[in-house]
Amino acid sequence: MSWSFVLQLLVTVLVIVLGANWLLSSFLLDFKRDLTAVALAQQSSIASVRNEHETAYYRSILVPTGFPLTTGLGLSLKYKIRNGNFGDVWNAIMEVSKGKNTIKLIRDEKSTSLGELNGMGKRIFQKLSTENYKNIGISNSVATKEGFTLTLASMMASIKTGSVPHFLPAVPRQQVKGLDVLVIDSWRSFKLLNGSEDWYKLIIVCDDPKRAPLFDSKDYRVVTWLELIDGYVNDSEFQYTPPDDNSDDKKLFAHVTSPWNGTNSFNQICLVSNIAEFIKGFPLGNELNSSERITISTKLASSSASLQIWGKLFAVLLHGGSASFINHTNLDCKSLQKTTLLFIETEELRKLMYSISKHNWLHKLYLSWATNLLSEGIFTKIAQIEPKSLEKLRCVYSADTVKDAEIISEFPEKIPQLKKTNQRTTPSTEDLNKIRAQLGSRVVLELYCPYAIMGAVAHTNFYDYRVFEKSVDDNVVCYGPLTTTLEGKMVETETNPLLNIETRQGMLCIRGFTIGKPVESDRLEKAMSLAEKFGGGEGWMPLIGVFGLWGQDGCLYTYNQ
Amino acid sequence: MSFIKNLLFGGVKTSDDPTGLTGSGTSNANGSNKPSEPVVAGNFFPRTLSKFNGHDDEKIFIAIRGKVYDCTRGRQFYGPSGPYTNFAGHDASRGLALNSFEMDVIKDWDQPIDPLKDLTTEQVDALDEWQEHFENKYPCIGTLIPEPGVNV
Repeated sequence: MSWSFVLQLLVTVLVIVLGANWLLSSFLLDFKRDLTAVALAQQSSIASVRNEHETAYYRSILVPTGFPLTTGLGLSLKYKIRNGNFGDVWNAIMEVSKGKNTIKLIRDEKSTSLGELNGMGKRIFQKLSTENYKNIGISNSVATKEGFTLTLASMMASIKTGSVPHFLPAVPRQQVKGLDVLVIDSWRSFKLLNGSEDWYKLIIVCDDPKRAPLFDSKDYRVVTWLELIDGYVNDSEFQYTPPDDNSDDKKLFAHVTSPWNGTNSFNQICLVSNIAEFIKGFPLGNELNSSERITISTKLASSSASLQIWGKLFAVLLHGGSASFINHTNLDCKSLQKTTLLFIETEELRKLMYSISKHNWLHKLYLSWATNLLSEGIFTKIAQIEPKSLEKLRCVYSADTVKDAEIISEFPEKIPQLKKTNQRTTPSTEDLNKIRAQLGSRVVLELYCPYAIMGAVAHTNFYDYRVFEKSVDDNVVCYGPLTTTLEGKMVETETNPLLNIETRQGMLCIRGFTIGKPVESDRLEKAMSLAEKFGGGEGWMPLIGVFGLWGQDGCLYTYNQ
Repeated sequence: MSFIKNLLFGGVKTSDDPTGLTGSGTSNANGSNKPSEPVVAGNFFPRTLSKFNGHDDEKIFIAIRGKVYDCTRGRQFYGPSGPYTNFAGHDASRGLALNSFEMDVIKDWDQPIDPLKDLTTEQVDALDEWQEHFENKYPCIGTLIPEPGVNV
């Protein structure tokens, strides 16, 4: 073999490799990408003008400036447009499913049909509406049959009698204004009420009536959940006659109390906008359909945290899908066999991935190819772990929460200082692609502000698989554009002069249709004063302590703190 | 080479840094994909207003009786080759009052701001209606003031 032949061979191989790379990069990969680089680089619509000391207004590209933010279901009634409410939603769900679709609740071995749950809910509502009760305090997990049906009944009441569910983090230690009914999980909790039972007109205990202790009832009534549902029938109908106008918008949907005792109220418009936003977030060709099954972690269904699940749950049910709740201790690939959409906390997702990851060399090779393809924008399932179990899974919603929800809820006058760290609790963009590759599913990273905002504040695009350099990931987390129900801006703060508004850095302020309103007058006053300070009273809510920046791609990036 | 190299030896493609924090990527580049920076609302001189005509800058600002409106959304009317393109980047008060779209009713940026004192009652009424229309349709983003040494 002569040197010239070797040289020729090398040159030929090099030309072929270079040519193949050029052909792949310039043409073939472009055809296979889920979303073009141009679309990924323009995910928000940005106002052309900004005020001093703040950035321009940013909103999702799906709701360009000049168009209204997503609000309500846009139901057409006669010649008027209504936004809809829980009554419309539940009525539509029962019509679509004919009561046959199911929800698998925890502690139940079998799924329960919507007809049965509706029947129970209606029976409870019927019994509760005979008395003139105001709000119904629920401290149970809504992932249980008792919690779910009682919540359903109180949501029915929210549009018919004006009584609303009040989601509580625990049994109240102080009297809560307007709370006539308290739901508790057991007789043990009942014994611990320690005199506070006198604050309520009715106490509902979700325990066996036979195990009831002896007590001396004076001003309050005690009833068990089983007694309340006694006589229910499987009922696949829910009739609701809407008013001729949009008066439902302002009707209360729920009260939510945070663990630090701040209560926010949410209107029906928050619920329907949240549902509509979730439906709108699916790209063409991947819309919600009747074969959907959403699995929700019980961590997200604990009473006062459950605010975030209703939008997704009702949206899936509205399309004729089913739902299930899963305890994080039972979460593995096999438990997701029927799941198409998974909604869990980011920390749980990390643990799941840790427990199911494989270490053999063949899988590592597939994983390497898959992450390479994903970083190019091409979705692949070649590295999927347990394809039989995860065959149906198509999207995982990974719920992240703001660093300090308590301070947001307090509306303090003094803005804290940003303390950057290089340690992130959220998986890096490369790790997110590894999760996508191993689950064979899209992963949408969502940012939540618990107890204050219904649904996500921002979420990444269904098709966004970009990988950023480590130096970027070490500094910030990309949460994609704001949801379509909200618009936002960054504002300058005196305590953080290094955040340069010219480069779109600052503290996040939002406004829109899914934000709760403080119930306590002092908190409301503080909120209004802050809104005035940071937005001239135009309805802006500063998310105190949420520091970040808008990327050139229109996405929200928050600093690792 | 990156795709084949990553495929053979492992690795992933990293996207440009959209945040500008690392000093690389699109944020500091002057590429054609870079969106134009938002204008700070506030005071405008006829000179600074004139560039927002939809041509020199894609934004379209129009002044009416001292108030500046962002009419970028109305590009089909006020943008290049639109029927009212002469108003873009100018004080359109007199043109709207007289219902005229000709250039002679529009002052250049180096002339004094039109005091509109000679308008008849009907013309003032017409201008009021137009201003109400703009108020309802477009955001007011600032005030038009004379530039010392140029317009006064």
